[in-house]
Amino acid sequence: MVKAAVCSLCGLSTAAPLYDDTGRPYCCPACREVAQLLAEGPSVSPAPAQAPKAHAQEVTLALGEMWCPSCSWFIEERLKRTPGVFKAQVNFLRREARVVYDPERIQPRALAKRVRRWGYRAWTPDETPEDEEEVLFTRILISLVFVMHIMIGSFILYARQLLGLDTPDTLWMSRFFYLTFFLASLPLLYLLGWPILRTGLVSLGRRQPNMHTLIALGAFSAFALSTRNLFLGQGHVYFDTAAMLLFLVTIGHWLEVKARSEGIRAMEKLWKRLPREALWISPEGPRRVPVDELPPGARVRVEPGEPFPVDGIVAQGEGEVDESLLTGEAMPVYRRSGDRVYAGTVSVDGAFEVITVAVGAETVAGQIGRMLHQALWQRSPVERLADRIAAVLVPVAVLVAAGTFVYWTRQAGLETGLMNALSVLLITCPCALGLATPLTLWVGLQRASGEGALVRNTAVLERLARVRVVFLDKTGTLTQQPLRVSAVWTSADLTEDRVLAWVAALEAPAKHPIAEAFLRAAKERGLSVPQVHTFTAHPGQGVEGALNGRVLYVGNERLLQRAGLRLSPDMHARAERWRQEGRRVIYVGWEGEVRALVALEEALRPEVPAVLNELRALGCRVEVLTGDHPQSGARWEERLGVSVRAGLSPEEKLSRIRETEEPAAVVGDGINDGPALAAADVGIAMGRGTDIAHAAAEVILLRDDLRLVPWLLRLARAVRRKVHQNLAWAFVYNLIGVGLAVMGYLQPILAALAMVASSLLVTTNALRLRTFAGPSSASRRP
Amino acid sequence: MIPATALLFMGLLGSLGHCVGMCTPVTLLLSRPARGAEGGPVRRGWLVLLHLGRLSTYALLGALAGALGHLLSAWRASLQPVQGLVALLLAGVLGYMAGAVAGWVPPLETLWAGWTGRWGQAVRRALARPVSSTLRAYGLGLLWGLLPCGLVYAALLLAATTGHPLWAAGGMLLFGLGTLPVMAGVGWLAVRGDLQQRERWRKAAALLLLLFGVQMALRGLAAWGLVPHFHLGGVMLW
Repeated sequence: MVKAAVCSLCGLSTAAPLYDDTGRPYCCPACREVAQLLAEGPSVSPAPAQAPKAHAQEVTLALGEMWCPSCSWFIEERLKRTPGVFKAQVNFLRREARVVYDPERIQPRALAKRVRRWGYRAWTPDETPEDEEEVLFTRILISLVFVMHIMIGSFILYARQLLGLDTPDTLWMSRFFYLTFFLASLPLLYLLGWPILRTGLVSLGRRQPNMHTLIALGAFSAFALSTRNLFLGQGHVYFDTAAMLLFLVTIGHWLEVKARSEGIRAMEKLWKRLPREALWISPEGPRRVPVDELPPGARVRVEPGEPFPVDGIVAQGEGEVDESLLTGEAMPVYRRSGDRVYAGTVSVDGAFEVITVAVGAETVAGQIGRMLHQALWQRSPVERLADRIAAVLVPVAVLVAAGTFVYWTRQAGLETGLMNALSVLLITCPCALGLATPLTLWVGLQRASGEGALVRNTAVLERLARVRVVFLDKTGTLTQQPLRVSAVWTSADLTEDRVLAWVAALEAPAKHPIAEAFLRAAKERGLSVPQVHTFTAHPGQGVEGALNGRVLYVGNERLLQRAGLRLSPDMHARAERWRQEGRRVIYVGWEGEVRALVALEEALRPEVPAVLNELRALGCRVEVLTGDHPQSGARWEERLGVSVRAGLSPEEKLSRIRETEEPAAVVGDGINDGPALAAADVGIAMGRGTDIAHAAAEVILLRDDLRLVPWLLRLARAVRRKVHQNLAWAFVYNLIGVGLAVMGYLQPILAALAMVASSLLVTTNALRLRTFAGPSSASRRP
Repeated sequence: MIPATALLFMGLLGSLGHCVGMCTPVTLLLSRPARGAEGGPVRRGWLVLLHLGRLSTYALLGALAGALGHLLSAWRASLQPVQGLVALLLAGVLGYMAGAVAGWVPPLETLWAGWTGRWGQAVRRALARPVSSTLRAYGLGLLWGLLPCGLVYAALLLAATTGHPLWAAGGMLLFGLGTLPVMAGVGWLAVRGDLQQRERWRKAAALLLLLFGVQMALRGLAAWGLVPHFHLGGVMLW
């Protein structure tokens, strides 16, 4: 590790970093590309780049038929060398090329034509690009006419041999069919062979030969050998091998494109659910504008049945809102003025007016989309392992194949040598590794987001599978929101309402659930909340602020010391009694004395006992961490039957998590647990309304349901199991297959079949995760 | 070559009732003007290539059928009894198809849709893409030939009785040529947007198919020696 660096996107350390234009290091091209993508933002039309010449223009060409990153590299290099082009940048993931050109010397149409001449597909912005998956599919179907002819014909010829019918007087039949095989191979070479050959050549030119190079070599040499034998009228023909090889490899590629485009489609579905336009109640009256043009804080109207175009706060109106897009929860929820609503969720029966908080990529749905996209292209440690194995496997395969070729050529001639070497190459093709591992992780991720559990990337999924200890925050996690103000106790010269109004004023800037409880209580009692002048939050203790010329303190008993507040004996007694009842006590004081007590009550979520049982059944140690008083902690311990550590400051929580040696997950509400969530191996936030992009947690539960936690652990373990199964399968398959191939027992055509069968097997195994049962069906409440 | 003429007639008569019913949607689909072709009518040349593609598929399939027939004949010394069986089988199929054309029974294709549904869907999905280039016209034509079709399978059965890949391929080519007048007509009518006339042919087509089926049945029985052969001016009718 000479110049080890940390990837500035995914945070993994790498020995061979790649750098972008700004000099930031990345672990792999995918990360660099994603970072670039994110920097550009998710909008479809890229911002115009700095033009190097005054009259330069920019165009984005859609590209097709790029099989691997080598192709994008190739197109970019060639475009750069095209006269009239100042700048060219090709993005493999997005399948587009951004070209800055001189309109006096070249036009977009000519550029697209050039790219097409190199054998790829290209479309100018005013043309409709083709769906790559569909093109491939049609091509496969058309090829099927010829492949079928060659395969069934070969089968008939073999059958004749087996039945002993190939007498000299029917030799014409073999020759007739060999001729038709030859003719039928020609379109196959064009339809299927050429893209593979092109990819192979391009990667060879880049001095990074990959499987395509080898497959193209194998198929074309099989064809050449057969053609020679056919026209010399001696020796065997292998048209069936060449045809089947190309056909099966193309099917493998098609499966890959399909899996990927399905992943992207799922993401795009999310994007498409975000309306492009909004009805803006502007000062000049209502008008329809694109959401991007909405000024901050714009008032937007949403009619019944319409989706919300923005994230915002309801200013007017009430009704049911279908939030299933974000939470996976089918039941609509009731929203009224003051509540938050999210872009992409749908108003079922209410007309709303909403004050815009976030639009486009900044909305929760936009952030989810971006996260899924990021997750799709980031490589997790397991995938890296698969990559590393593949990187070793390809040269090893070539070596073994070369050895096989030399040995068998000397033993039994060129043909046998060639065919046996081809079998070795085919059987070692690391498809199971290269295709199935990312697919498994991706399906797991999709499954989680479908249930409203947002997992930041596939690496998190892997860590989740290892979790042995679960730390649960109590407030907002085990207990249900909202907290409720259940009692106020004041000294004689104050009224409850006045205390509440002041406390609400002080808490208003804080985002803590306690603050919400006060604000709600003030609202319910119809109190007017005054404005505070200064505000300071003391994490884990409370808040302080200036109001009416006094410095007020609101918080727990730890704040008393900091603020130097004295507690009268009867106040103390009252506080103790509330605590023993399991209530939370908030002290309110100023000028050296506690003047009022407020009791807050929280209800246990109904699903908690089942969740705790399930976590234990999964072999996890459960511990509840809370800043509550030790006394109330003891009551919780009795009630829940798990160990509860109470009276912890955030720092103590943190060190408790840090000193745990086993892999630990922390479940918190995502706001005041930020450090704890970040310190854990996996931080899980109950994240309603939190800012997803900036949350410290790696898992965000959009649905307010604790059952998602054990469910996620089970899902993660199922994903890990599948990955291991597939790796084990690939290992055994290769071991046996290579052995047979080297010994010459495996014909190339059988090796190709085995390759595709193996790919299909692992892909199906991965896709089976799609039906992994959701949490509601798996653990019903008792 | 008896199967060859039979195949030509099968294409001619069968297409009247069968193809018009089954393949009209496909023809309509393929006769659409292509995107970016300035909304003009589909090029005549492309239509020709479409049918050429279809015929190519038939020929390739025919060669296989012939080879299978050959395998069978080489194994069983004589094809005579097999030919008789095939002819009787064909008679049944043609009779049923006549009923389907007349509208008395559901078409064969809907009966086996459960088996071929996915395959047919896949092909139709591919065919739904507009013809936009010469090469694609031919490619889509090839695919068209792969649509699950009772008439084609019946023709292949007949072609197999030649016991020779080349003759069978040629026979299937003749069968395809036989379907051409009607299919091209449908394409032409589709371009003109006038399809109602096909209703008129239906009854006649059913009758012709039925007659053809009867001929096949007689030929099968003749092959088995149960009825005497019948010649009409040098051409063996059965």
